[in-house]
Amino acid sequence: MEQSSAVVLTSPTIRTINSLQTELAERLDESGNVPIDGTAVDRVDTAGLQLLAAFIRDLRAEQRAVEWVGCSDALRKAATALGLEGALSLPGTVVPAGTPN
Amino acid sequence: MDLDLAQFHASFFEESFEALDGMEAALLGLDVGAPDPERVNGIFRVAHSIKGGAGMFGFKDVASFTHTLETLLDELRSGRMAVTRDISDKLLVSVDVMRAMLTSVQRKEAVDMQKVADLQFDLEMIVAQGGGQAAAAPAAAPAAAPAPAAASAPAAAVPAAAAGVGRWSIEFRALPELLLRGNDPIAIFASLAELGKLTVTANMEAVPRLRSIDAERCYLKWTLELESDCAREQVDAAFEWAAVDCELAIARVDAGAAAPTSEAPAASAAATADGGSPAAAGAAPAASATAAAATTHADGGAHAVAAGATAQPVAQANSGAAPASKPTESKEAAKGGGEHSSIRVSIEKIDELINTVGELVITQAMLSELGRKLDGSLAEQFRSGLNQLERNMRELQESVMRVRMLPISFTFSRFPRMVRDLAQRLGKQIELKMTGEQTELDKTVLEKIGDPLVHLVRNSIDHGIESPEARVKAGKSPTGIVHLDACHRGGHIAVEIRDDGNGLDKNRILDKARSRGLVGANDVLSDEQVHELIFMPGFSTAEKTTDVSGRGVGMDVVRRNVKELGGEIEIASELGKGSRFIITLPLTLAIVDGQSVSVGSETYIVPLTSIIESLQLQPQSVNRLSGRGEVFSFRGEYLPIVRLHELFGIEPRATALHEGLIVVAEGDGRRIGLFVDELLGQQQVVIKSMEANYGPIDGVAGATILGDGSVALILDLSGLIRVATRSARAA
Repeated sequence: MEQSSAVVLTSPTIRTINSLQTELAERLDESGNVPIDGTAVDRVDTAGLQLLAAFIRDLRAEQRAVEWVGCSDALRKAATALGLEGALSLPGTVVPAGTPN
Repeated sequence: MDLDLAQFHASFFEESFEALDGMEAALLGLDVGAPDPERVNGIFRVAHSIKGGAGMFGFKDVASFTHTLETLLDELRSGRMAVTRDISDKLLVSVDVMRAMLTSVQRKEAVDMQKVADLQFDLEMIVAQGGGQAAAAPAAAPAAAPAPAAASAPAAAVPAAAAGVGRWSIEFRALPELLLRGNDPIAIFASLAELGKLTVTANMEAVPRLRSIDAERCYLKWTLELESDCAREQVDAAFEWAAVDCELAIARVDAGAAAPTSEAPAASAAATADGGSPAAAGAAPAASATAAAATTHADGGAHAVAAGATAQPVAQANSGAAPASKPTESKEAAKGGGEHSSIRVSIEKIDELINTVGELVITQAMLSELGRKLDGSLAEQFRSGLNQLERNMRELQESVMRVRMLPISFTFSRFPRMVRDLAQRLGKQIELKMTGEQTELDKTVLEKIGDPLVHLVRNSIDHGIESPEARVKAGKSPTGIVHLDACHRGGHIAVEIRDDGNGLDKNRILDKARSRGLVGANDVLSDEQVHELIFMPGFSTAEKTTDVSGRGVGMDVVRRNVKELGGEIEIASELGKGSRFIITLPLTLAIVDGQSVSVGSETYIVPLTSIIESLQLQPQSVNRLSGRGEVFSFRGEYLPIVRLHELFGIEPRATALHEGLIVVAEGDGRRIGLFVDELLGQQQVVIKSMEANYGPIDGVAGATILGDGSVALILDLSGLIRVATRSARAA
């Protein structure tokens, strides 16, 4: 299966959340795993992470997964702060046993 | 598509201004040299929250300035820099600048960037130069680790003192609006992480599928465990900006196994709420589901901060640990949300409620009137029911009125700063004492009394209190005292501004008045009459005009403002010992004590505070003056007679003056005789706005509905005198 292009995150915050939602919804309609590039994330908030977590959960429900191309410090710190690092399957995160992936 | 955040600006500004007031009060109470770490933390949190909100809403200048301020505050709270007098002064100026910036942004006006940039530069310089000036007692510093930025890992900063001592279990569920209002749990959790080791577990159960999610709303729920022996207030403070937008349950849980502390004598797993109510016991099963020996402290017990906190079982997040190892939440429902339970309601909604209650009072009065006319066996029962209704109505009305009441501390809170600044500028030593700050009065009265009070306090500082040298020479302490006091006095509020300064110089006032021709060369005036002179427009005995006071604009305006509120101002002063200014104000502007008078078939209400006396005139005591119409002599003064029936175009029952009555009334410092048919009775009436229901009418302050359902106009004496003067001149 051909690898689709990565979803590039820059500033997933409440100000830009609606366009990110549209993009992620389109990716859900596709098939296969979804690569996400979080290298350039300099600013992120709860709305942004909640949406990403919902997206990843929906992917998992379809036996698909996210493939992180990279993850900035800001993204990782925010995810840790919210206790969402597992839900986001960030690279280097130990996912508890029993969590579908 | 970008979200329009403008709809949330109003609450951001409102909360920011409130927070700045708190920050200013905290700064004024800051002990230079040995500041209370929690106070510094509180000040930091205000700057941090405003920065967050400003950034979120795109107010870049505010965000940039608060960022610099926050950097300095971070240095202070970490103990890397000591709080000096200079820094404390700069921080106070920063509060002013932030207020001014926020006001400009709110009004969509240009911000005075030069002032901002200057101060920002000063703050940066302090930080740059202050690196080496560690606080004298670093051990007292709250946390040695650098404060994390909003998105930093929360577990990074762990004060050593927190290790394994107390444990807090927090259940936090964001209400949908939380994010839209500019609150971000990331920042909240970062604040908590500063108190100790924080473990965050998210619960995504309520998050809808991606396609149906409203992405601007928050659906997440968190279980937080904080290892810290911090005070309950510190935990609460982290949530203070989000309190109305979340469901929150905070419980202190012992980390130790079998040794309950003396604070929790009941060595069981049950949550012992400090209220000890049955509802609190309902939380016990939840608490007992925690580790077997978990004990909820009686003191820091289970408090539900936001009303409506839920106590549903906590499901673990998909990233979480085993559920059994987590404490579940407990709550204290009976406490009705704990000490922080309050809601922000717009003043319009409250006024609407007051208005409806006013209508009910009128309806009840109409029924009472009807009840009096009824006969028969059921009439007595009916009247007894009406009496009960009347009592309930009075209670309801008082309760509703109380909603609009605020403690006078809202106005008093500006004075510590003002007195400090003025004293510094004038080279005086002044101690401000405030008592009765919790005395409550109507919000509108409170807002309008602020300026007159400021003027009086400025006067006391500038003219009253002498320089330290002069005071010592007069055998006084070099430090002068300005005392602000508020108390209830017979259905009114009395606010007193007292100083132990030089008092009013009767001779100087008289000389000045004589030189201006206000008083005849040979007139002998009582002390009271002399004091009255300072209320004359443009009167000032100040030798030099300062930017503080003495421009001669003032006491007349103070009196006018107080009068407009239906209040009075009195002076008592003794040369060399000090002055007292006593302002008496009505508790509310929504109800007025009135005298009903009848003119023809109409009834009018004259506010009792305006009435001096009522009398019957004999025809021979009335004179006619050209340009002033009819006048009569009243205590050595000729007062114009205003025939209300002529003014309002009504057919009167009496046209000859001796057939009716004259009500001598006062407005704006002038007196008139109102000619009416008869006096009816005195009663409290609910004021209905003319402006809102009809339109402004000169001489009419409002209207009310009487017990028989008819409408009566409430007279505004100041306006009435203006109208009458115009009519007399025209005639």
